[in-house]
Amino acid sequence: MLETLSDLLYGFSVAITPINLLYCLVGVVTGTIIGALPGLGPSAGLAVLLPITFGIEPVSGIIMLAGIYYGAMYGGSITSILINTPGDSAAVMTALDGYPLTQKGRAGAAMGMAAFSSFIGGTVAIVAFTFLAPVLASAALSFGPPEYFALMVLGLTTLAGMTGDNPTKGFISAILGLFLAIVGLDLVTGLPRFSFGMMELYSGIDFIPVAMGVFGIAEIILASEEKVNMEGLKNTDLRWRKLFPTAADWARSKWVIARGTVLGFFIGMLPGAGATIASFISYGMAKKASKHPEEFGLGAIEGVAAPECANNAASVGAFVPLLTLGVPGSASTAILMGALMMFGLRPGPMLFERNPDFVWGLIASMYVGNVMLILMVLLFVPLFVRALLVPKAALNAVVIAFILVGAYSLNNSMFDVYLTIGFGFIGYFMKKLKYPGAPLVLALVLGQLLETSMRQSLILSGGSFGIFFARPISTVLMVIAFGAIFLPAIKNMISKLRAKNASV
Amino acid sequence: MKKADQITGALLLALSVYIALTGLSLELWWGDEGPGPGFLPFFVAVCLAILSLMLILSTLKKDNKVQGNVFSQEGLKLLVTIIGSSVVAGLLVNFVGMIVAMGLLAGFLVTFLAEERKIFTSIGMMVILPLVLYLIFRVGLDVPFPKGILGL
Repeated sequence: MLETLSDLLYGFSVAITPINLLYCLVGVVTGTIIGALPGLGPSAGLAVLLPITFGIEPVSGIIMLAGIYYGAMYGGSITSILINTPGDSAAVMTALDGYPLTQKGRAGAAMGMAAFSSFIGGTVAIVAFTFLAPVLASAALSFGPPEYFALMVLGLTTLAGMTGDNPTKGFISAILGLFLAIVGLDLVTGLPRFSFGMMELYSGIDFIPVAMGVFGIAEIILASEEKVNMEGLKNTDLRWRKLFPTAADWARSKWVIARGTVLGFFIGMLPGAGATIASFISYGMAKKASKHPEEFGLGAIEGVAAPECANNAASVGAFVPLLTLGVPGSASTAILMGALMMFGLRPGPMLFERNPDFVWGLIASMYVGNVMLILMVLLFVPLFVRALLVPKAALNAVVIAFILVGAYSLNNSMFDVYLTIGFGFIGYFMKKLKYPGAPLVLALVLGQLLETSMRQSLILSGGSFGIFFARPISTVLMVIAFGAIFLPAIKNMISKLRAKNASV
Repeated sequence: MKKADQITGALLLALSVYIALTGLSLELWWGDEGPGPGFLPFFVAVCLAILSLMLILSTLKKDNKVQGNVFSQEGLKLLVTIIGSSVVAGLLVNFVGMIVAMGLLAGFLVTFLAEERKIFTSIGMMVILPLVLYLIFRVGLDVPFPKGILGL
């Protein structure tokens, strides 16, 4: 406990340097604006802005990326509330009551409640994270290759099985990601695989062009298809006074926020679940526990508080498996993991021992970032709203040019630019045909580590796959992973049986 | 959607055969040392084959609810224009340099995507965006951009 506090203090000494504060601010501001753009969520924000962080110190880079991540998480709620157009899937539930509140002339209160509940959810989750992470990391120190392999399989199968409407398509997406990860020179033998004699492919396919294409370019094309009317933004009354929820609002929301925060944090830690599911469950719980469930959907203030505290708590919870185990559970954390690896850091339990300045600097910066976010929202919300009034065409054109230049700056090569455009094209069809992008990117990021840990395990066991079931932790993880594969089929069977019984 | 699923299923099945054959041509297994370079590709191919067959089979079921064409003419036009202009801008980089090519791309896109076209916005975009990109990437991050005939 005391050790954790002194580590945290040390972290603050890293995070509160002027330059890191500046990066945090830039991250929060750009994240909020990108998150507010329809279609673009945290994963897009991270992918698009990632190249900017290459030239800077790793700790400053990750502080900025973390700022983009939770800035975008909040940003999604702005358009949800004001014009009924969620910026990303985690903000869908916020629109249900946020927009009716705007129609009632209470946009300010809804925006304020979204900001305060995000702040509370985020900050409480960071406190939980601060004390839980070191414990988990030290427990994970005993993990060997079989446990890591099992963990990665678990992360992939749960994400693939849970995102999207059709689990088959989720798994196809994950398998294609694994295939992309295979491309390039084999790490053990040096043999080229699927590189078609192209030198550029020898070093493998980078996850960044894929993420920028699938989450950036494809989403922009899709968002351009939809005509969004931003006119509603002009007339909202967002004076400073109006942003503070009333005492009655707080009375209705306080327990909702408390429950949503705890729930969000734990759901965020689970691989595959994440912020969207947390916001759905939190909203559902708030409605069930409410004395006035009939008001939900018509402008209940706690209908804004519930999803917003949960999705921010979940976004912090998602850092737990990423930093302590080195296994991300969502698209955004997969991109963060890829970024860490580009900085030359391998996320996982050793990170806490080898790079304490980095880990604790990041954790401390999350406290700072959350305070910064709420101050900015309260002080400059009208400015953010103004930023959204810039014609969407201009914003989209800027983002596309930014993506292409960012892709070039990865390796100073035009090949990455074309790769990004190509994945934008593929991503469009994936989205239209309902193949989720998250499993693809996660599998691509994890692919090489997955293959290495599998080979190491099998060398240890002399080629026997029994090793994955010979140790208790890896056995449990593998069983849950297989469960995640068959769960959709089992659920389907049960519901069919029920329907049959009901009709008899 | 049904037809689209059948077509993608067939394409993915073909891809899985290709991956499997390539995996087999690399080594699958090495004596005591465990899996060789062909093992994971072969495993991926088997999974992909099973999944694509499942996808095709699911479209044959009667209760396939999703109907209708998911692609609109408008959407495909946007897709072709945005992807096409990005490729053209990529090709232009060799001639006019990164900065100018991106300015042209952004100017084109803002004109094409805008609901009401304003010449001022288009020109402003063509001038300001390259400047911002230059400041961030060239000056700030020291990325060596390809220069074109204009020396920019």
